[in-house]
Order: sequence, then C-alpha cells, then structure tokens
Amino acid sequence: MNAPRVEYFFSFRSPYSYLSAPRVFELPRRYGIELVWRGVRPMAMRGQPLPRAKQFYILRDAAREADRLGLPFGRIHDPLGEGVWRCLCVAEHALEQGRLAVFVNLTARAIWGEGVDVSRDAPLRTLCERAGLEWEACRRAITTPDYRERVETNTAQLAALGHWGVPTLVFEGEAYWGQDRIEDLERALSRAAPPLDRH
Amino acid sequence: MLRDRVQRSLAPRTVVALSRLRLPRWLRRPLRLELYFAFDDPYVAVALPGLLSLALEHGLPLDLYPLLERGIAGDPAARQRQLYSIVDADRLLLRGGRQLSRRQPLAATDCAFLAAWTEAARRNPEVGSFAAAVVEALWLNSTGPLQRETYAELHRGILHCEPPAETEQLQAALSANSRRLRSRGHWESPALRVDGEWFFAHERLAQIAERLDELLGAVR
Repeated sequence: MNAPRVEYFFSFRSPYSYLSAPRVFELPRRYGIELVWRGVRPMAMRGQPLPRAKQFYILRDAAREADRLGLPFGRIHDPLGEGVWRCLCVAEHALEQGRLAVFVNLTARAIWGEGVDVSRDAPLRTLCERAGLEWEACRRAITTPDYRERVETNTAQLAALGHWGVPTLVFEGEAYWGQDRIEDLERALSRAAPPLDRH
Repeated sequence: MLRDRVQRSLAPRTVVALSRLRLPRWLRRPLRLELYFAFDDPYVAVALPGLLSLALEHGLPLDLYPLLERGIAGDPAARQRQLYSIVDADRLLLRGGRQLSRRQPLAATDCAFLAAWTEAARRNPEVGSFAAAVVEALWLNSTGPLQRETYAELHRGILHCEPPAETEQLQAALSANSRRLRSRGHWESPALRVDGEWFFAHERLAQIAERLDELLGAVR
C-alpha cells in the first residue's frame, strides 16, 4: 500500500515556514507519510499585497512563536529576490540528493535567526556544505532552468488549490495553513494512520 | 546599498528587538484589553468566548470594538480567505469539541445591525455577554439568512432594552472603530490589543493568557 501523501508548500521568505520546518520534516518518521516538497515564490514575488502593519505583525508574532518553540529568531537577513531563488533551486537539488530537510532547516534558520545573506556565494556555500551538499553542484543548481520551472509549477499549484499563504500542508485534498495548524493536520493523520513513533 | 541593508536587515531586526522590550512597571499604562472584531468573521466564534473567560479570570474589562470594514484593500485572495476561514475556524473549535453550524460566509452588511447594536451598548456591563450570545447563535446554532428577531430577543433578554435604531451616528462610530484599528497598527478581525501588543485572538489565546499572567504578575 502507498504511504499517504502530504504536500508541503514552503517559502524561504516566510518566517512561519521556518518555524514549521523542524516539525513538518518529522512527520514522515512519525506517521509513515510521504512528504512532497513544494517550494514556492514568496507572496511579495507573486502580487499579494503585504502592508506595513501586516509585515510588522508577522515579525512580532513570529518572534513570540519562535521563543515559544525554542528556535532562534531576530537576526534577520531578508532573502527577497535572488536569495530566495538560490535557496529554492538548491532545495530542489537537495531533494534529489536526499538532503532536503537538513538544507531547509539550516538555511531557514540562517535567514531568520542568524542574519545570513544567502544571495552571496560564500555564506550559501557554507550552508550547502554543512547540509552535506557539494558546492559546485549547488552552483549549477542555481542556474538550472528545470528547478526554476518546478518552483513556478509549485507556486501555480498553491494558487490552484485556492491558497495564498505558506506554510500550507495538503492532505487528502484538505489544506492546513500555518505553522500553528500542524496539530490539526496531525489529528487528521492520526485518524488515517496511527502514529508510528511519538518520541 | 545602505538602503538595501536597512530594508533587509536593520529594519526587521529592530522591529523584533523592540517587540521583545518590556517597559518598566512605572511606565506602563493601566492594563486594557481591546478586541476589534467583525460578526461576519467566523474566527470570532473561537476568540470571543475565550477572551471573555480570560478577562474574567484576570479581573480585566474587555472593551469591544465591532467592525464593518476590515482587511487589506485590493487583496486578491480576499474571497479565498473568507471561504478558508470557515474551514479553519471549524477546526479550531473542534480542538475544544465544538463545531460551526454555519458553512457559508456572511457579508459584513448581513451583520451590520449586530455591529450597530453592540456599539450602542458599549457602556453596558453586559455587552460582552450579549456579543458572545450573538456569536453563538450566529455561528454555532444557525444556518441561512439572519433572523433579526432572534437577536432582538437576545438583546432584550441580556441588555434589558429594545435594540436601538441603526442611526448615522452609530455608523460613524463603527467607521471610527475601523480607523482606530488601522491607526494603531492592525487591519483584521479578531485582533486583540494588550499593553500595546497585538494578537490574532482566535489562534493566540494561550499566548494572551501567558502575557496577561506576566503583566499582572509584574504589577502585583
């Protein structure tokens, strides 16, 4: 029997995506699901309005939530633009190398908690190598059109689902939007297949 | 270069750092809970009962600011948000063993009379109970078009008077609530302001409780 699939729509520019990642990447081990990676362009790069009040609220709320989750937050370097594209392309390469979770966790933490500028080669190289990836292959990934196309496809899929924000998890046609909705997804997963390992 | 550095790094770091600052007790204003909410927002069915309990538990008044206008102007996802909010509010309620009865979105105009009646009752000490009863009837115990008489009965039973006429003055007061929300730095329902800090009340009740404990603990 095929493992149940959960799609994971993620943006490197979303602090809530960062907060969700450690728990989401644990779901396959805990519930025996297949986690399908869907890296997407950020809201600001797909025409969604983001007024200052909302930007401020997100930063303040994400800081509270990060403190609650025990994740570093606050030394930020916004990757909007080329930084986002580089991370999304390397993530596609990392997925093929079986290093996705470690790359995404390390990189999102670097952006939101360690002030790392991922648009520059040297710091991104360090992250890639810490994630067990070869820098030359990552450099090629950044300019691989297929990877950019995958991201565009994922972004279109999110819109087709009738969704706009990230992180969004999709299971059996139902979308769960937000790092604080993982517990609702887990309830649905428990109904579908009991947890394998809660430790 | 400098502008880029400010936008990408200095500005967001400053926002976060300032949000973590805690004013000394002697600089704090008296503690107030302000809830800005729309009756057509299903998240209110989660937020309002929870906040009323927290306010009671902490011995604080909950000031209600009903809204007719909210959200981001020109938001292309507004309709999707409206539909998803019903699914999501239902899941949040399910955590406490409750469920929404209403599965279709409401328009702000459908609920305008409820906002006006609540605004008119602002100084009535039972206004919170009235609003909670309205939300319960609206989102947990009914479907279809609103039956005005159902809510008029709640008004008479809880506030002990006839519902007021929806005057221009009340409309102006409701618009002022929206302006007040925006001028203080928020845009949506249900938004709670505590000691200058904003929370989306439907999804941050535990965090609000912790913050109130912290604030009141410091004053005690």
